[in-house]
Amino acid sequence: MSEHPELNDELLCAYMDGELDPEMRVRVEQALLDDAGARVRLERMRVADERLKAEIPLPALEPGDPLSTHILDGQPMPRVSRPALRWGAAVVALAAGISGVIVGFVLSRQQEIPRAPLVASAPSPSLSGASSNALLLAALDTGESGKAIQDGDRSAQVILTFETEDGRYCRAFRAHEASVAAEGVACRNGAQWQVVAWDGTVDPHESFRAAGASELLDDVMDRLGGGAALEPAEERALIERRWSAP
Amino acid sequence: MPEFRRELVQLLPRLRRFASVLTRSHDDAEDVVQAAVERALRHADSWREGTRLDSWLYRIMQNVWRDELRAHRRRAEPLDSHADLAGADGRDVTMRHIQSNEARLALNELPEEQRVVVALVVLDGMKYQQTADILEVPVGTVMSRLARARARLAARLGEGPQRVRAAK
Repeated sequence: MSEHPELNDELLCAYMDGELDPEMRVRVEQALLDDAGARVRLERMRVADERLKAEIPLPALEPGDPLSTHILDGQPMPRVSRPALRWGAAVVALAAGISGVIVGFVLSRQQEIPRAPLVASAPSPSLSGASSNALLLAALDTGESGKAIQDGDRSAQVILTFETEDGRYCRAFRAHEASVAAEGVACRNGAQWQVVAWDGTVDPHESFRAAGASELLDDVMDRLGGGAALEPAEERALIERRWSAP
Repeated sequence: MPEFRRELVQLLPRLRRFASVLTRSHDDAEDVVQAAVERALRHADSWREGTRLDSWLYRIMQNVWRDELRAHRRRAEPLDSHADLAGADGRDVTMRHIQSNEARLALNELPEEQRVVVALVVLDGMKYQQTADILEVPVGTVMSRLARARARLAARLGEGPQRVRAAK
């Protein structure tokens, strides 16, 4: 028999997890007989494993679980009762109309963001005026995801960038002005940005946007045929190319 | 497709546990699971029958979570803090609750790359190769991450539950 293998943590883990071939398993067991320290480490790792398994059990699948119902019956996806999700339905409604009538508006350096909300039930966003328009345009044109552009009490920030099925580039964004905030999705259309989803009911004090936004963006991206968010390098390349295709 | 949907439902408990470890937040976990399920249903055609649905879903969940972190440039904070453990006045804390949170807290303190490996290997019982495939890293990386994670968990949990006495 060859000499004992070194009983490092990786080997002990592999032994615990049944990842060793029979020969190595025997060698480890023989080495353990002569290594009290390794036996203690192994035992502690086992105890920790057992505690994790016992204390973080599989959650039960309750009868009538809304997500299960959604999967099996196609029922509407349950909404998590979190502020982050509250504008999802509005944007989904907007996004649903993208293929037909343009529900958005075109951002250009000559136009202003309209005061009238695009969602009839939403309060009127007061993000308006040439200055806000310019700020949002700047963010869409040159802003990297996650980095806000600020001008006084106004700010605009791109959340993420994605490419639609038909090859357009779209950007989800968030804009603040004083006590109001809005979020939306804009898609590149020629040399302009077209806002295809907009919501002005965002809580301006909510700086923490949780994963609900992913669900929201999923919905919008679904209807646009969008893929995953572009990587930072891809995004930077597009900004440098002024949003022209490679 | 009906079979695909049934299998998806059967996976939900595992997906939820994995997501809770990944995100360290109950709410974020549920959001990630929902978003992943939506993606899976939308792209069901791209799943190859005969391959493991669980591995595919775990990969989707990680992509969803990565997108979320990128989009918001944030790190999720652990939901369960020490302050949460005491309850209103510290007297209604059960031993089980404390022990449960002790394990969860110990896991939450690990880096994400180590938490995910622990979730897949220790909690889910996956083999190293399958874990490596899900994470798209070499098996050796899985082994080293797992060893580092277990060493830290053993130091924290390896001597059994702490003896905690609820305040009177």
